[in-house]
Amino acid sequence: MSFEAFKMGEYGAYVWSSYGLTLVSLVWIATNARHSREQQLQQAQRRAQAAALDQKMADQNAATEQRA
Amino acid sequence: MNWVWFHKLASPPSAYAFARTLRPWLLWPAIAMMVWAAYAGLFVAPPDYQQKDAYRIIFVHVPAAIMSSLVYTMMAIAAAIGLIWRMKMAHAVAAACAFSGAVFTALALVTGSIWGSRMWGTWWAWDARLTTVLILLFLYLGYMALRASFDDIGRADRASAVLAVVGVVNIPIIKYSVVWWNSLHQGATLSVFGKSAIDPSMRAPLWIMIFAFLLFFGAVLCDSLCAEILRRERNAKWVLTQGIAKSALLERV
Repeated sequence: MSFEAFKMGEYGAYVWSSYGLTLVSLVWIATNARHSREQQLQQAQRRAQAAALDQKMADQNAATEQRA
Repeated sequence: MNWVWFHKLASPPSAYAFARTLRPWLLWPAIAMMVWAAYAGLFVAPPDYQQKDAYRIIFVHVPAAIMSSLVYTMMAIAAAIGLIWRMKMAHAVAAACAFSGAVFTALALVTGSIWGSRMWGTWWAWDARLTTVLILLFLYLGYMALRASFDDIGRADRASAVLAVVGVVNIPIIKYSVVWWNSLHQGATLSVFGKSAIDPSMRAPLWIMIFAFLLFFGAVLCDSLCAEILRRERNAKWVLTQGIAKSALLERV
């Protein structure tokens, strides 16, 4: 593959900039989707931990009241 | 035929699991096909007799343009299903499509401008095809802005669904704009049922790239849909207690 194949006559800048923008756009779409999912998963994990903690405290309070 | 599997997709946890399973089967073939099609389009396909090597932009411009219309159509169908049958998952699919569709549309406009700057001698013209695709971009942006303007998800779903359904009239206008009006933009390059206006040596990489974009969008839709489902179901028991939060750590590995 020669350098001339990359230059593409006088159109190299146009063609390569189009392909470069396409690559950037596709990466952007993919990372945006993945980031959204990761963010929601982290929030779900935090809520689950908070709910588990609340449940644990409620169980402890119930046990204390029973002993009393 | 047993349609139970299809009806199960209306259930958020089933749809979530299905999307998670499907994603890698779409993503990796998409990437492989994109790499092959890009190589074939850039270095294997011969130059055009008129446009020389500038025509190679077709291998990214046409797939982006096709995806912009296809994604909007899918968004409108999902929105209509959500409005008519009041299926939350349909609204979730519509919402998950919007950002990707907007990016594909912007990409089609930008790559088209780059191509036109050499071939037509102008970066932009208020030509029928270009104008209707620009309107499509505004419809996508309007859909996302309308969704964001409501705090209540149900009202956001209904309002944005109406916009999506009304806006779908733009899709056939985009398709036939080059037929109905005198247009700078060339006519259809590819034909599914008839003869294509492109040499077979150029046609194969173009079809492969279009299919690769389709699979790629499918993979991205899986991720977006999962995020949308988790957002809507944040207080649901299956999210909090059925192991999804615990498995979040595993999913990140």
